[in-house]
Amino acid sequence: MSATRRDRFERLYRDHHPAVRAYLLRRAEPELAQDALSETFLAAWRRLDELPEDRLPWLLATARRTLANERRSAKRLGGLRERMATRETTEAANPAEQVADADLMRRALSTLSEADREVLMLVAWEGLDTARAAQVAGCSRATFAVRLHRARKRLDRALFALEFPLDARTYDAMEVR
Amino acid sequence: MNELMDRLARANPTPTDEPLTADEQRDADALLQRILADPEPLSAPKRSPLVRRIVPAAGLLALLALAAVIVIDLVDSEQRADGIVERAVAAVSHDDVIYATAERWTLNSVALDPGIEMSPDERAFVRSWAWREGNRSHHLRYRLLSGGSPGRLHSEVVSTPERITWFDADGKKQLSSDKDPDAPAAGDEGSFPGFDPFSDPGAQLREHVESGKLRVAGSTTVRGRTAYRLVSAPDKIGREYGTVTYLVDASTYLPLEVRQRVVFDDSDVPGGGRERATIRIEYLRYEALPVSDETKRLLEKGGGLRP
Repeated sequence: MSATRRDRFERLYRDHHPAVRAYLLRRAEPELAQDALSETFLAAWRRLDELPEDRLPWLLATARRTLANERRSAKRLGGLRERMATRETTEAANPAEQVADADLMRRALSTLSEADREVLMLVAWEGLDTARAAQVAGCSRATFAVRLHRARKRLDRALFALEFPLDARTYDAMEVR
Repeated sequence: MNELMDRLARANPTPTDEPLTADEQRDADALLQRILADPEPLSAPKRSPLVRRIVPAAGLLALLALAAVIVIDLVDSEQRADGIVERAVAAVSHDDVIYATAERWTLNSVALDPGIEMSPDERAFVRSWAWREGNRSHHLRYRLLSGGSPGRLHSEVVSTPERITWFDADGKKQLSSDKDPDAPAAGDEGSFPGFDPFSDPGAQLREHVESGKLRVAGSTTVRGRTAYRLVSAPDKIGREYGTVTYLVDASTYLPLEVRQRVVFDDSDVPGGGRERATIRIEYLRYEALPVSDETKRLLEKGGGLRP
């Protein structure tokens, strides 16, 4: 084992551990997230020489696949949805109104499909641009841009539905811009 | 990112830059040591001939995808206004000045009932002038060209507290009507929280927040300025059911943008129906002008400045 390889991995780990950990915690229960985190960096260690120059998308894509493989229990997923919708914000020092808005956004997000949530979170929470987010999602940039555009519309509609309750027939006819 | 995505970003329950607790850091260090103890890093797999043939084709596909996404980005992007957007916003509320707002106005309207015909989109560039002494306002509405610049004059509206008159692009009077004295004025009880253009809009919106008609629902950035989101609770007023959202300058509370989402329902009257509309007004500039014979002429029909 060369010292250089070990140093390279340690640097990779220090640089990207917070982002990968946060990515997993936003999508899974802490126990499952910790397992997936371990698997992801173990894969990175084993494939260190093959990693692309831009490593974060590769790490997040690996974390995403690992999570999908391990998350077989619908009960766990259901629990995550519930947690996402009701989770206490970490912005405790912020004004109450901002906390209320954050809660509203998370409630709206929790009503979307997993695919819609993923594209929105990759951009808004992981801070990736469409090119890097597309690598994580495993699709082309063009496809990702279309998915993001549609998911944004559906989030807007879900938000509107929470802020502005109407009958189902009206929603069916709406296409909120 | 747009405002929606900014709000979503602020709802992030696990910010990446949040420092680890001592226990979490210990776990992270332990994980690193466990991984480094793994003795068998895999060697890089060799590419098969099939993969070697696929890679150049994938490159071509990527170029095509890039071309497609450029088109999508253009379609997806919101229109940007011209240089006027960049001008600074200044609070104006003194008695003896004329203040002016320049607005970009968008109406998107969709019939919710089949059989009702309406124009689905309308965009206009409006210049509004208000003069406190005369309680008289003057609006010039221009069609908005695709690039965001105002085009041909569309209509003019001259408004006083008692009467409102519309003129077409040639200056011909189209309609004049007395205002309904029973109709709620902006900001009155029984109306969506708004503001009277004849006094300081910022002060009026602050009052709405203090009275609870509007609540502060976070902050965002509008054309480079820090802005608060002020939102009203969903309400039904007459035949309208909806909400209003203001994005206001964080220091002056002057509105930078207003969005109203409304369902209008007159399906209980013959020929009526339901319509959903989103009205968006962007306030691009506030300007103070001293009162003089020259500036008073701005309040006469046809006296407004052309962009």
